[in-house]
Amino acid sequence: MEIKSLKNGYKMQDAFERLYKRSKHFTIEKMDILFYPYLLMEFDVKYSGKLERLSEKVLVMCDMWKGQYSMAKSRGEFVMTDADESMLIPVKLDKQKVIADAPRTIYGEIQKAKRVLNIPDIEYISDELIYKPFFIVECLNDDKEVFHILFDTVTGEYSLLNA
Amino acid sequence: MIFGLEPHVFFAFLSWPVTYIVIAIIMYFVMAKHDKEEEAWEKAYDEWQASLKDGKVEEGGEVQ
Amino acid sequence: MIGGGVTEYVVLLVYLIGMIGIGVYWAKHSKTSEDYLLGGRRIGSVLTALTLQTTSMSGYMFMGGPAQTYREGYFTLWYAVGDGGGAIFNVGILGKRMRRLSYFLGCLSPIEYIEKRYPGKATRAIAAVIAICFVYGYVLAQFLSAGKTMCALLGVPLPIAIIIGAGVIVFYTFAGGYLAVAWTDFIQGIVMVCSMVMIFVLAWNQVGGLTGLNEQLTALDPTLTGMWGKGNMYQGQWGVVAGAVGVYLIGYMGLPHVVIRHMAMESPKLAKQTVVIATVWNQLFIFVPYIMGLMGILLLPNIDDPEMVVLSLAYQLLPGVLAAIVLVAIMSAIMSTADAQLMLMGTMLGRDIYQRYINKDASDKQLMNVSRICILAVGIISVIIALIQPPGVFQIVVFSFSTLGSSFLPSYVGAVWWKRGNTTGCVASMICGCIISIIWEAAGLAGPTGMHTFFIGVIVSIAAYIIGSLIGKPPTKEMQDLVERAACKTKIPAGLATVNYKDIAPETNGVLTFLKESSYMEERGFQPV
Repeated sequence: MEIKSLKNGYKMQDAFERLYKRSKHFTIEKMDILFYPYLLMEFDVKYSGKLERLSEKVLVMCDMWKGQYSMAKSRGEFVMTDADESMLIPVKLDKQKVIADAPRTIYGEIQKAKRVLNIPDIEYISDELIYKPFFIVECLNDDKEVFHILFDTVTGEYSLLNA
Repeated sequence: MIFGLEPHVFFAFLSWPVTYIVIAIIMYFVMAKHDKEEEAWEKAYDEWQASLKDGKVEEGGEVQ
Repeated sequence: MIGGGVTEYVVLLVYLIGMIGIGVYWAKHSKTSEDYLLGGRRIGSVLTALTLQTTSMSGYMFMGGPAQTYREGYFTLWYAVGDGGGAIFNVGILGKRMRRLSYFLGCLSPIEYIEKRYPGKATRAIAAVIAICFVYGYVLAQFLSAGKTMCALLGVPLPIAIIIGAGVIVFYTFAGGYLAVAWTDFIQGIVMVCSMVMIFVLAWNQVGGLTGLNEQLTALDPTLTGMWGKGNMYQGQWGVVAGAVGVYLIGYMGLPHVVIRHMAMESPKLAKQTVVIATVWNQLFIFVPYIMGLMGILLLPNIDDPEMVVLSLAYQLLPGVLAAIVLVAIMSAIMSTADAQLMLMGTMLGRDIYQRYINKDASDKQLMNVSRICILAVGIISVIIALIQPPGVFQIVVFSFSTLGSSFLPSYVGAVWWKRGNTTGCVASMICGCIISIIWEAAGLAGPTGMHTFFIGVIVSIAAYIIGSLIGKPPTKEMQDLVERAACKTKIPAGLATVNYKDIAPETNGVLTFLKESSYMEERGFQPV
């Protein structure tokens, strides 16, 4: 099926190099792609009166598998990709509920960042389902024990799945 | 007397800043040594990479 | 009262306009939400973090610490001894294990970490209540400090100064955004630190250096430079010494906002510089204020309120305008600290208490109003306390530290060092540690028993943690495995493991669940995770 995916800045070869740069005491055995679903939402945050200057549009992402919200810095670049369904983490959450709950995160983040107690009006603008490609990397250490790494193909960050 | 203090008082209170800084400096060098090992490896790795013509990995596939 | 002239008022006005100017300029030049959301946090480097850390202790550094050495002599430096080594000790004991476990549990904040390691409704509720009390202690200390600085600066009587100071802080908190952007915090930190150094160097010359200081102190009263405090008031009381050293040395491990620094160390290369810079910085800005208190004994022998010692030294040693600038800088540093803490408290009272336990369906508007009312109430209560019976800044901060440290320490340390440690133990230790600290302090038992509040608090708390964990249901097998994995030698090569990108921690957790539930790994010929 065709999905809208964030463009990966890191190809497999880049991931391979990046990981090997960190250590020589392991080998990469296998690598495969996995798509993680997010709902990318845009909201209009409106302040009235003297604080009007603080009004702005914000982007919020919600991970549609676990329901973790985060503020997005920018839209990012997208590509349309064909992906086998088994490569996709399924969408588990209800879209309407995710949208309805998003303003709570925005309030919290805005309050922290701007140190403003006033409540802005938050208006929903749009949403779209996007996927982010990750690599699942299987490695062996010097003692031939298996461990896995999750590699973020957009930022190049990685984390250890089981250690 | 050390700096006008009884030696035991001096050591009890004022020797610590120096001690802590010494510990921190030792930690710095231990960490620096580790970094150096990594740098040496990175260099060797880059050379090895340069000696390879093509990558070993295909998009979407396994490592050969 | 030491100020109150036209100079002070002019300087105050110019300084405030300058700060607002910088704030507005910066706000205008940051157009995207990214600047707001991340700019503040990533504005600078190690130095910024240090400056902000210093600012957050402003009231204590300028008033509490020096006042205590002024009263008790060298004995108070026991606190500095612990404080100076706190960071090294903390990293040594919790460091890697905690980072690994928090990673396995997929959590970003230390309170979340406690909740996940010790699951249960009570854990969060109790942790939140204790944290709120602790933050309140800080807020009160800031209010007092602000009042005293106002008093020195504007030459008005203390009660009026406290009301003005508190009013300004509450206004500042409500105004938010405009006045208190990250940049001004940063600049205030720098001005504050420079002021401190300036006063210290001048006072140092006046007393004839360290030797001169100590010789004169000994001539005045030999017990001032002795081990046991003025008049040997703590003679042989090792329990008090242990508590004084421990409160900052190991107490830090119980402080959620400090622990988080050790949870997230993104660049190992930066880490090695940070260790050295932070340690040198700490020695300077932990020991210096205390020693300034000692200098005060010689330079200002007849001061009414020892908490004014640094402010008075500024006036004595610096030319008028400079002294006024220093005082205004201190005032604004205190204000920006108090503003952040007050807002944090309002949010915690709103979200963690009101929404969770009183009105589950509260709308955001209601929540915000509750937060505002709470902030106002906290302000009024603090003013009343400050007017009726003002406690010392030193005492409040040490007490808050002791309570929080003894409440959380066993849970943080036990989380990684003892897999049997469970929710019952955690809850028991938080309750016992907190209650015993409050009782000990309220009943003034530290003096008669020769046991510092922190010392007794942490012992009781550890005992409660152990007993509770032995009586209660053991943690799940899964949790015990995680703790063991956090402790044992990792399968991951060091170079890979030192990098911990916390930005993708939630995804890591999600992917792990997916991989366990689906046939993804099997279909592609991977080994199971």
